[in-house]
Amino acid sequence: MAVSIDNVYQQVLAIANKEQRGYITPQEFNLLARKAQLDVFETYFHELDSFRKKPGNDTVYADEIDSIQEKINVHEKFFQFVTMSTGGSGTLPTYHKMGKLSHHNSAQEIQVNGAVSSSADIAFDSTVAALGLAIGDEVYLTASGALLGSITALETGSNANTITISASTSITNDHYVTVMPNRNNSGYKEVQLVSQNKLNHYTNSSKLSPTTKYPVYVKTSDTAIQVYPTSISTGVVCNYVAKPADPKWTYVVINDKALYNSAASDKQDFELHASEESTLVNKILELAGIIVNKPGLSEVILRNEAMKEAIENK
Amino acid sequence: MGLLDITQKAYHDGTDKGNYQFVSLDDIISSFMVVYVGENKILSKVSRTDVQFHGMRAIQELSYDVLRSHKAYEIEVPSTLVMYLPQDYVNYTKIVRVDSNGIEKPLYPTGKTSNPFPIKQDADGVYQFTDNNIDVQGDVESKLNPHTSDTRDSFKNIPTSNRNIDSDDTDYLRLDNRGRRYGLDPQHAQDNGTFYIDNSTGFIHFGSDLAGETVTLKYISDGLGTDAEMVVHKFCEEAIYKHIMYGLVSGRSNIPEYVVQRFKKEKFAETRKAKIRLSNIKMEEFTQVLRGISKPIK
Repeated sequence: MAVSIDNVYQQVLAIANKEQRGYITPQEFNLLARKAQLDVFETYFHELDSFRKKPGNDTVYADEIDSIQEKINVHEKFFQFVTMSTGGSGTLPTYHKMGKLSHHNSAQEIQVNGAVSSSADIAFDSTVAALGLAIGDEVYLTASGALLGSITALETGSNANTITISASTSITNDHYVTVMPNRNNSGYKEVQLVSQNKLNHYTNSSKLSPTTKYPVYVKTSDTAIQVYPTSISTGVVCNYVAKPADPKWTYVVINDKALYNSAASDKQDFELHASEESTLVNKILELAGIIVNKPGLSEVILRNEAMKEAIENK
Repeated sequence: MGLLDITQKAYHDGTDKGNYQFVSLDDIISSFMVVYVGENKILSKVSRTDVQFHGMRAIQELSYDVLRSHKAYEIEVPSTLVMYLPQDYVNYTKIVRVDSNGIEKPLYPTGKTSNPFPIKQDADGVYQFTDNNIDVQGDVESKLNPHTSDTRDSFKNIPTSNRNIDSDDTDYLRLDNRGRRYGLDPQHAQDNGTFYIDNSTGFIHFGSDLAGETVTLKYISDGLGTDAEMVVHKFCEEAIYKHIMYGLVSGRSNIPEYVVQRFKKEKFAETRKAKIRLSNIKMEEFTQVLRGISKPIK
C-alpha cells in the first residue's frame, strides 16, 4: 500500500525539468518529502471531522468518511502492549494520536523458568493448566512490550509447565512474559480516559468508582498513565495512530550521478495510502518551487491542485 | 448469529441454569455504545461512564417497581425478637411466618411502636455523656441486638397476640392500647404476628409471639449489589435502552426539546410494556382465578 519513494522522486524531477525549473537534489527531496508526508497525514484528522458533519452515502468507495478512514487505517496500530507496573502506572508506546485502551482481568505476568534461546518453547514454574493458559493467547515480553507470538500448543505430561508459541524467541532466565487472552476474547474492557480534574469525582462516586470491569485512566505525562483501580498492574493494551516514518530516497553515486539504491537498509517509502501519490508529487513540487526560488513552479502546482480539488468537489 | 454460546450438553452439565432470560448490564452498555452512539446518530459522542451511570440508574428504578422481586431470607426468630436487614436491602415486599405445613402467613407492620434511642439519665434527669457522646441506657448494644428502649422492652413483653380477644372483653390488656374498642379494626384482625422496622439501626423487630417461629423476609434490592446481580430480564431490555437514551439526551445541551420528549414517551411506554410482561399473566391461570367470580359464597 505504501507509495514508492522512487516513483514520486522521478515524477518530481520530470515535472520540474519539464517546467525548466531546475534540479532537486536527493537531500532536498528527502527533506521536502518528509514535510509533504506530514502535511498530507495531518489533514486526515481535520478532514474526517469536517466530513462527519456532512451527510454521507452508503457507497463505500465514494463515501468521504469511508475514504478518509481507509487512509487513516494505514497508520492505525491495534492491540499494542502497554507496559504496566505495580500501582497501576503504565507507559504507552510511542504514538501520534492515542485511541482506546483496553484491559483484560485474566492477563497475567509470568516468570520464565529457564533461559529460552532461539526456541518457541517457554517453560514456567507452574503448569499451564494451573495458570489457565489457552491456545491462541498472546505472549509479550513484559520489559519491552514486544509481541513474541501466540500460544500454539500447551504441553502435557512431564512438560506440563511448557507452552509453544508461534515464533522462535530468546528470553533470559527469570525474566517475565505477559500472557494476554486471545484478542477475540470477550473479557476485554475499555479503560476510559478521564480528566485529572474529574478523577476525584469518579473515585468518590459509588456508581462510577473505577473497578476492573469499568476501569479509567489519567495521563500523567506524554506517555505515562495512571490506571484506576490501582490493582491493575498488567493486561492493558491500546490502539493508536502511529506517525509515518520519515521517507528516504537512498542512492549510490556512480559517474557523479545519484542512482536509486532500493536495496539500502535505510530506504523508506512513503507510509501513506497509495491514492496519495499524486498529492505527494504536487506537495513536493510546491515546496520545491520555494526552495529553488522559482515561484512559477509553485504557482503551476497550486493551480493543478486547485483544479483537482474542484473536480473532486464538483 | 445465534445467542447460545454453549452446547445443550454443557448447559445440562453446568450449574448456570435459567440465565438465558437475563441480559447483563455489560452487554447492554456495549450494545448501546455500538448502536445508539456514532456519526449520523442523535448522540455522536458519549462517554462510556455516562452510559454506565444511566444504565445503573435504570436498573435501580426498574428494580423498585418493574423487575421481579426474588430475594428472600428465612430465619428463626431469636429470643431478642430481631432480625437484621440484609446487606442489599432497600425495602421489603412481604414478611411472612411459615407454619408447620410450609404455608406462608403474612405478617403485618405495626405503626404504633418503635425503638427510639434510650438516653441514659441520672436521678435528676441530666443526660450522661462519655467522650462527648450521649450514653445509651440499658443493655450494651451488640452486632445482633440493637439498643433496648423502654418502648421496645414493653412491646417485647406483651405476652401473646390478640388472637383470643373477644369483642366484648373489658380486660385492660384486651382493650386496644390506643383507646376504646368499638369493633374489629381490620388492620389488627389477624393473628399471624406483627413487626416493625427500625431503619436507623437496621433491624426488624417482631412481636413476642413470633419467638422461635420461622420467618421469611422477601425484599427488593436495587440490582447493583454485585456484578452478578447487574442483569435484567429480556422483557426489560428495551426499557433499559430507552432509560439510558432519555437520561443522556435530557442532560445534554443542544438537543431539541421534541427529541427529549420523544424519548421520555418511549421510556414511559417501554417501562409500562415491561411491567405488563413481567406481571406474568397467563390466560389459563387467569381464567382459573376468574372462575371463582360466580361462586355465591366466599
